[in-house]
Amino acid sequence: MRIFHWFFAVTLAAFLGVAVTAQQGPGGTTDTAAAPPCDLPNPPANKTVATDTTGPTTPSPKGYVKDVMNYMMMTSAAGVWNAVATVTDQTGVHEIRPKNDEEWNRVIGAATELAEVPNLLMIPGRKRCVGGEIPAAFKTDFARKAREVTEAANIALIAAKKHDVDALAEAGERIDVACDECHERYQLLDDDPEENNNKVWGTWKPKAGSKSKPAVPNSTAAAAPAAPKKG
Amino acid sequence: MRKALFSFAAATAATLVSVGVATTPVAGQGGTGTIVGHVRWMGPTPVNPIVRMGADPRCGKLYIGKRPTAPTVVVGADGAFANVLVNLDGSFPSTPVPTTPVVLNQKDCQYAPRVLGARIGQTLQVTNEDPTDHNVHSLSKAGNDFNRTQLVNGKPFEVKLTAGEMLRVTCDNHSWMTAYIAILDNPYFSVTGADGMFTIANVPAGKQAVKAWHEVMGMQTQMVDVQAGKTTTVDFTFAPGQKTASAPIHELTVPADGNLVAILR
Repeated sequence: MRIFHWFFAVTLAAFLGVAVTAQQGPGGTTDTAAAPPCDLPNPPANKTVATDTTGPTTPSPKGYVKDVMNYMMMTSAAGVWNAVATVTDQTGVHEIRPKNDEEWNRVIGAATELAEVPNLLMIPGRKRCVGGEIPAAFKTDFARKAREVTEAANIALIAAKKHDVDALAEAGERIDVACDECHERYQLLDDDPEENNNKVWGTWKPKAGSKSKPAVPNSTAAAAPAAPKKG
Repeated sequence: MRKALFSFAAATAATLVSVGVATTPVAGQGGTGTIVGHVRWMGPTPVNPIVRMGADPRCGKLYIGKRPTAPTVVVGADGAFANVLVNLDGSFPSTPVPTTPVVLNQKDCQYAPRVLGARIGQTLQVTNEDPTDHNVHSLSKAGNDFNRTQLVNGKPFEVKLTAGEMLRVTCDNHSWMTAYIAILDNPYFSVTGADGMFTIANVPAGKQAVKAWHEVMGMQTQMVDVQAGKTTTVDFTFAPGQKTASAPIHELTVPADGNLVAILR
């Protein structure tokens, strides 16, 4: 009789276990959000209030290039790009344009931010998530590419202040090209030697046996700014 | 005591058997028919917003020399309207859930297909053909939650869809990527392809409410009378400015003789 009790209990437990596992499914316990790409870059918080005689007196980067890109560059660029667009909705095909001063001011804000953000990228000590800080031999080239984003955004800024839709759209294309030009050289992709071939590696190293080569400083420093490919 | 345990075991077995019976297919009492149709876009040529993929150069490389746009309103030749989910609304006898998964692929830094149908209890398999990492994030309101990173050349992953809803899926890495999965409690659904055509087979005979849903254009409903062994045709037309919200079935007029049909206004 006691054996029967145990047999019944074990069978029931096994049945319930199988049922619960089936309910969870293969993905039930392994879901994960996207892993953060890098450790937190921030130095320890300085608890001393900055005064005339204390605290940093030089620019002090607090985020990776990727953070600046994701949370400032992309949002501000979207504010410029999305200001002029063509979309289709339930009521038809529409040309999206800033309609009033409030909307134009939003574009002005986005363009201003976009024009200024590249300056943040050039602060000494700013690191890339992959590859670390831009090596000294490439800083001139990097600054040139960053400045091109600033200049393109500045055209958007001027256009927005004039409420000039066509010039704003044209500036948007130049911004797009400027972004791509910089990414092609400085945006490293983790663990991808092929993708990182002829890019500025910094501290990044490919796995042994890779035939990929890093960008050569002299050729980039001397190179003239690339002509826009699009638009 | 032993008798009590046997009784409990017998009752449990009976319950399990009855659950099994409940999920086995029930033959249509009046036979079944097929619904076919075409969904048409009528209006100016739609324009979709530009997608700027430069933030991920691996995606950008897939479109060199091209200007990718979001595939929200996809219209082909003769106004064929793609990515429209067509399904039957109502209560139906339960039918077995397919054991094969529905597949959501990531290709060219977009979801493919953009719109798909699935059954409650069916498995969703997510694959990645792209040369870049993706993040597959469901925005569920009903419990179909998942948020998974899927690496380049990563293995497909599978998720059981447990509740009915129109599930939106996005990629946290690529903000332009969106897919819609209609998770339904019956097998009577279809999604239009590039030709705008759809087919729903094995539909129980009788009056049926056919719904057509598009992510931008909303929903339309038509009534059809499905006859056993026959094919019924129902076409939908979506036009900008047309009211497309679903209306209660009782407001529709169903011709006594007919296959159809009233478009909502």
